[in-house]
Amino acid sequence: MNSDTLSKPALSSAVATVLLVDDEPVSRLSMAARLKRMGLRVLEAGNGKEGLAILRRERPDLTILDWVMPEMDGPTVCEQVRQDPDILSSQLILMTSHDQPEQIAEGLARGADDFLSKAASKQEVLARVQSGLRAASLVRSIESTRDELRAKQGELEGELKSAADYIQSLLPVAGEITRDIRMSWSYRPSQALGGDLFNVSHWDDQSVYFYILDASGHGVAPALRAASLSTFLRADNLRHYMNSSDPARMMTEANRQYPLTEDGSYFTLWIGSFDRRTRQLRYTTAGHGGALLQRQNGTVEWLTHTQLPLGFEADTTYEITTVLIADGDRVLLMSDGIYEAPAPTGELWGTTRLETTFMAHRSAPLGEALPALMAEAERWHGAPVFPDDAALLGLEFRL
Amino acid sequence: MQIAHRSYRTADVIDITGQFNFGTRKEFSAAIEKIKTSPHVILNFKGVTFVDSAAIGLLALAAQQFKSANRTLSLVGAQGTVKQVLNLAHIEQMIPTFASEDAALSKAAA
Repeated sequence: MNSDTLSKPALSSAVATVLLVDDEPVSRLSMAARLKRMGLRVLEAGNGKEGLAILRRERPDLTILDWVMPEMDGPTVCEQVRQDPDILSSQLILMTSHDQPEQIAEGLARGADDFLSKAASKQEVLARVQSGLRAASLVRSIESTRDELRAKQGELEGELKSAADYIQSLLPVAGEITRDIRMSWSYRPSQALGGDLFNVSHWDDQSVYFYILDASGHGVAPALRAASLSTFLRADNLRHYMNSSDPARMMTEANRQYPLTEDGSYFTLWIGSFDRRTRQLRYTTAGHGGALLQRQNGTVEWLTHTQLPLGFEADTTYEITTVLIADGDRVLLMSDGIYEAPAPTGELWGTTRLETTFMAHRSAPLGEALPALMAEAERWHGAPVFPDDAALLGLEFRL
Repeated sequence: MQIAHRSYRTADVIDITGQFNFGTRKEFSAAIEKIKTSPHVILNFKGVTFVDSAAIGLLALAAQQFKSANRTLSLVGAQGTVKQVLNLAHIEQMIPTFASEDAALSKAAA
């Protein structure tokens, strides 16, 4: 039988569509007439298989299925619908002349939304159909909202990707900074956008300065603030404020420009400046503890001292510490996200394990040692993404 | 994080328990806002198990606000890792830190 004919093809799309699947022509014609009198558009099918095909093609608002049918019975159609992601939210009413409680329970368990006796009164049919159409309308409204949200989510993810690409573009290119300094880095943001940034810049022919900054919090706002501070720390910008690559002056100016925000966001920042003539590294820090000097013999000195993070106090004075750099020394700047990577037990990886791991890779090139550090922290943490951004910047001096 | 407010002698005490981090920042801000006229607020960190950078920022912000309003903010009871993190960020430079609520009250009265 091929009876998926449109009863009123000219009806507007606002009219609800009901698919009626019944193998008994008399019963089907009678029910179809009732539904049409309710102002509904009616599609008809003579067995379960055909009904399922029409349901997939036409997506009616409501489907009324006879229980016993050739080819495929009503409950089997219900099961097939619930297994098909494209149509699983369809509203289904099972219809039978045997409305025993056990049968009703079986029909509902196999995927029907409601049950209708073939002996139901006109009023009951009207009430069940209206109830089914109300549910269908609600489901469609939820699906439409879900689709809109998915589309917006897609747009937002696209924008985040663009922003992440921009942040990535602010990071330096690894390799030879000068003929006597090689640099490498490894970075693993905890979200699409990271709040840690670092860089190495030439101040003039004889001096380079380098820094690592860590914006408090996670997400878009800290990442944008980090990008802003990173741009502020470009040499061409700093020259508006100072005429030497003095880390304390850079820090003082950054402290003035980046006060604590109204929601308590701030930066920690470490800045060092290396003079190739004197071989002196002069550094200062604003609450940033992640900086160490590894001598060629493997001994480690942490390059940090106590100082408030950036923006906490407007009149903070930043101290300079000077160390002499020798051939083969390595400086490692890092964010706390690496040494505070927690194990599943909660125990942090810690600076001692970091030192030990860095020492174990003393003879490896920086480009291998830093990823090895990151991998060891990952092994400790037990997952590739850390709770906080994890950044490593390494410099090796060949003097 | 759980936050409870109580009065102790001449101060208002905020007892914080659990993790004080980015996810619980609003509860802390709301607790501070509730007693915004109190002349002396003591933050009791005895039950705090974790602080992150967002918590440090909020403490610094609270310190600035108290200073500009000529109010007193004290911190007591930090222990273990929490104490270390507060020390690293030099919170004691901004918020006077004491061993006990009585010590904080004695200092404020002096």
